Amino acid sequence: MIHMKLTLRARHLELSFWPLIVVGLAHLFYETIHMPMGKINLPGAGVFPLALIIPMVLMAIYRVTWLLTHKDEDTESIVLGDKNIFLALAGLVGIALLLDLLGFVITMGMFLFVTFKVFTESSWLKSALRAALTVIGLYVFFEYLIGVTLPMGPLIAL
Amino acid sequence: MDTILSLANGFSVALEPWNIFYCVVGVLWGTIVGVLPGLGPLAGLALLLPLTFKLDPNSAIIMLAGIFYGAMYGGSTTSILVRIPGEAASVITCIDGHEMAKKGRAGPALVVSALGSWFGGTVSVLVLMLFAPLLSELMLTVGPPATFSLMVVALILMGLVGSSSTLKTFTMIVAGLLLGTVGLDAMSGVARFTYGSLHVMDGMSFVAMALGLFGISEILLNLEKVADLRPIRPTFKSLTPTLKDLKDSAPAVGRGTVIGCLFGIVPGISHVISTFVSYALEKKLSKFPEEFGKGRIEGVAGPETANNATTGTSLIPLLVLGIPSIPATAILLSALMIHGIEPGPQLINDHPEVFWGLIASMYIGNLILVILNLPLVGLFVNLLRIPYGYLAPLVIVISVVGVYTVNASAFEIWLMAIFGILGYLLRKMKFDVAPLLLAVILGDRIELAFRRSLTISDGDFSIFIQSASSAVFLCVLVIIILLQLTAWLLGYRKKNFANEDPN
Repeated sequence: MIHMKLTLRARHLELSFWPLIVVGLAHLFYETIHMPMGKINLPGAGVFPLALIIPMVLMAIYRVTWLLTHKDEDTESIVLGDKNIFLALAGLVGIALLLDLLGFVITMGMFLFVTFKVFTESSWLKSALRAALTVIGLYVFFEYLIGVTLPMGPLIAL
Repeated sequence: MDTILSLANGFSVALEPWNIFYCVVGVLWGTIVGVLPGLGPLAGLALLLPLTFKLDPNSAIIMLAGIFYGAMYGGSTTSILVRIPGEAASVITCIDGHEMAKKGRAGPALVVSALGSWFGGTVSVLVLMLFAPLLSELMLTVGPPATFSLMVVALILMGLVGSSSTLKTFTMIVAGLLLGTVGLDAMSGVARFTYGSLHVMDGMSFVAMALGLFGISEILLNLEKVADLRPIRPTFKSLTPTLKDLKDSAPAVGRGTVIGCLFGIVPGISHVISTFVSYALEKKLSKFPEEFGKGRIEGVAGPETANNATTGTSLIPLLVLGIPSIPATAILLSALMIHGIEPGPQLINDHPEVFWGLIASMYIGNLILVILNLPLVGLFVNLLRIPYGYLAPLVIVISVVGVYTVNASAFEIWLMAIFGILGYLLRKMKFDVAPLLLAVILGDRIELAFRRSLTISDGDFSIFIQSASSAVFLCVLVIIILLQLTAWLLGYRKKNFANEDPN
């Protein structure tokens, strides 16, 4: 497997995370106040989300304040972003885009081929064979044994 | 007498050939999931959940429950043979279990673990069988105010005993409740946070969230730290424990059973904690505490029993109250609701075949596990040798099939990927994502109970105190909060005044 690591301080990651949460909550707040609030004896759709957004914002502000005022206490490092992780995520995106277009066999076959090759560092031929066998086995298992209908894409003509 | 008759009916359901088949599939898959590091019971359940949509409710629940307690069995195998816990509840077994394996006593460790798990699991199901009907009769008398208060107690308890910091756990709970509001409001039909998308009109896909947060994020985390596993291989002949092993482990099994049964009932308290408590107790009571950590059999028997003894009793809050106590039971809750069965106090009366069929299948499943697991230990050891570079893509493909079958839509795959990345980042920042998932599933029920209560009382909040059962739950909540505040204050005083000179 290929390893390439990104290291950063845990508090830096959190300090970028919480403000994003607050921005998101601000947007949700804007959406919520446009929802019907109803009456006290018939609370509307906006009451519950509003009751949740407020404590969430308070917790976010508290945490950011703590992180900014306790720089020396939080020194842990976090390792992020291995190349294999990016490949797995890119694979998922590729599957989401291509599954309906190219079908299960072709899409998953390509995904398995690339990931087997990169993750196990085996030869192209071995990876291709293993990917082909695996995807055919999975197709038979899901389609015929479990009864799940899988998209076939251009192979539907077969 | 009613219980015996009902159980007999349950066995007539569980012993149908297809249900036995699904029980076997469930326990085997659960064991495999438990054996493979990186795939816990939650991911194992979430992977097969969509595939149960075509089954009838009894078969679906029997299979999913089999995965649940099967995974608890399987986790001990990797803990003992490789010193890597197959799932979180088997962490403590690594300590003494692997030391026993290094001394050539992997067999007795595995056998005692299996026998203890069987005993703890069976007693746990017995407790479920005896107490659930009684509790459900009681809960049938409570209304929306008590339902609301009880769920609030469950969430607060979850927040206070979560594995990460209290603030982070409560953040996850509130985030989960917010995510649960996405979709059409059940009471007014108003679309909330859907942005015009039809895909989320019924709410966020629970399967996509569960697979993303637990399956995909786990794979991403494991891709960072892969190593080839070299498990110790016990022979079938070496599996036999000595009489001394059985004598030493019997009291630990008994105590582990009690601990597991008690911990399983309380929502929010993870089954992992029961194993730590059991280990600590065994070490405290042992005549040879210094030998713990070097291969004491009690250090395996107690925790593994406690672990499995939580499985039956953790179903009590789910089946009787409709409150999943741990994330794995949230999947079971989801499965029940998908099949049109509302878990709660009315479940036993409205769907007795589901409840009693499940109970009977758990007795059968626990027995199948102990009979199959030991002869098949060689197979499970070979599974550990499959390089993770092959397993990870395979699990991703199965996950994709799982979420795709929900609505035959690529949107679910996108959702799973997003929650996968989110789960990965959250876990890196030491957030526990389990409360988020539990809160999602409880969110709309809490909201409904709250709004119905106010409608019944014409806007009077005192209904939550006037209702006797609600008042009891709120008192419990106040006591829990006071105890926690006291603990914090004592901790604060100890930290800030420990070095003060009293003169």
